[in-house]
Amino acid sequence: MTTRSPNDNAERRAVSELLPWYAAGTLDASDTARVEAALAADPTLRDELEIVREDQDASFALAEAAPRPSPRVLDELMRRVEAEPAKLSHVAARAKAGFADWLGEKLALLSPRTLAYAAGAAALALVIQAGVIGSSFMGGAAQYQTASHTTSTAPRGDGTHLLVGFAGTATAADMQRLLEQVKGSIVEGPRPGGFYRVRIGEAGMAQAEIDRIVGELRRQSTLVRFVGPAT
Amino acid sequence: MQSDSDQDLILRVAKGDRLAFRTLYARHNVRVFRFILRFVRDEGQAEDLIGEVFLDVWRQADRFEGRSSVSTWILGMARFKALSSLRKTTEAELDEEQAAAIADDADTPETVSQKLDKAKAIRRCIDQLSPEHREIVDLVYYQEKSISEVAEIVQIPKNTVKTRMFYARKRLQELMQSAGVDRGWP
Repeated sequence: MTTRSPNDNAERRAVSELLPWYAAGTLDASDTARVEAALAADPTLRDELEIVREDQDASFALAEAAPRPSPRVLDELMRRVEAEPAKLSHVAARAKAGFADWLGEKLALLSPRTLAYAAGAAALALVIQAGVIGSSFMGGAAQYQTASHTTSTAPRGDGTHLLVGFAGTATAADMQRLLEQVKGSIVEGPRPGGFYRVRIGEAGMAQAEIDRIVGELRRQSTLVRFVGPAT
Repeated sequence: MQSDSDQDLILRVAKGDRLAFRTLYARHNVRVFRFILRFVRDEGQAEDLIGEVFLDVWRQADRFEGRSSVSTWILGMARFKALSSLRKTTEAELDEEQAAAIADDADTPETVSQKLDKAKAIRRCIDQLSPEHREIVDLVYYQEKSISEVAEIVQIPKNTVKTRMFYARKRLQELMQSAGVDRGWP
């Protein structure tokens, strides 16, 4: 047996510690070169590397023999994903960035012609888009809002309202079509959670009529994830 | 190693792309499930936890910063969920289970050496390592994580990663020797 200096021993130990990652191919280039130089000079390290490889093979075989999750996990997961609010953080971030930006983005996704205009005058178009879509969704006079300025008035308190959460896949056109279908208009939103307050008629509407509209919206389950009374 | 396609998928998931989410799940669910199973040792519980982990992937995809690989990020969340779940078990119960596992080792080395071939003996000995040592062996050999990635997942310094792995190997050798297999190291 050869006698090593303390420095040699420290280096051997350091290289020994790296062998598992060398065997797995996950060492960076400089450590790989360091290990390879040591392996070339030290046959005992080469023997140790063989043991590491045996352990690696056994560990892999052991892991592969373990069970897999059943298909029900994905089914249940997707059910929960569908029940999630439509990418809450995105809606919240958009709300923080400015409702106009968010509306502009929605509109741009749907309208190539608007996109073309936006290419020429993006900033101006964004404000105009917000105004246009704001008026179509919210009813009444056109209103717009940016991060620093708004012309909208406080949410209207009169009328009968519902709280509506649209599915994440619902486009602006889908939302508008649905609102037209139930003769509704967004008066507030998105609230935290991506919910909108939608006015569906005058105050004191008959409960049967409210129920009919709620049912109509709920039947659009691919576009609407929640409908409930608005307080 | 960072996978570009995983990165692409996570960006799409952040925008609510369900197909990208399913693809990401298909790509990682088995390894993540097996990683969790090592902690909780109960398939039903591991299935519940993997559902929680991937639901968090869905919810938090927009917070993924790309400083590590997607799989490292997911394994880190999986580890947190598994340990949180284990904490619901009292420390006493845990210690008792671990002690029982160690006692089992001592009872059977001769049987191991006589009846199992070397590869099977190694597998059995790996299975008898402490949870801490099994975890690192799994991360390095099966999950193929680098030193930095293991450090991120386990939340320990890189030097500790290296020494912990070294002592895991040493402990494995001791178990092998107890099983009558001397491989000549250390």
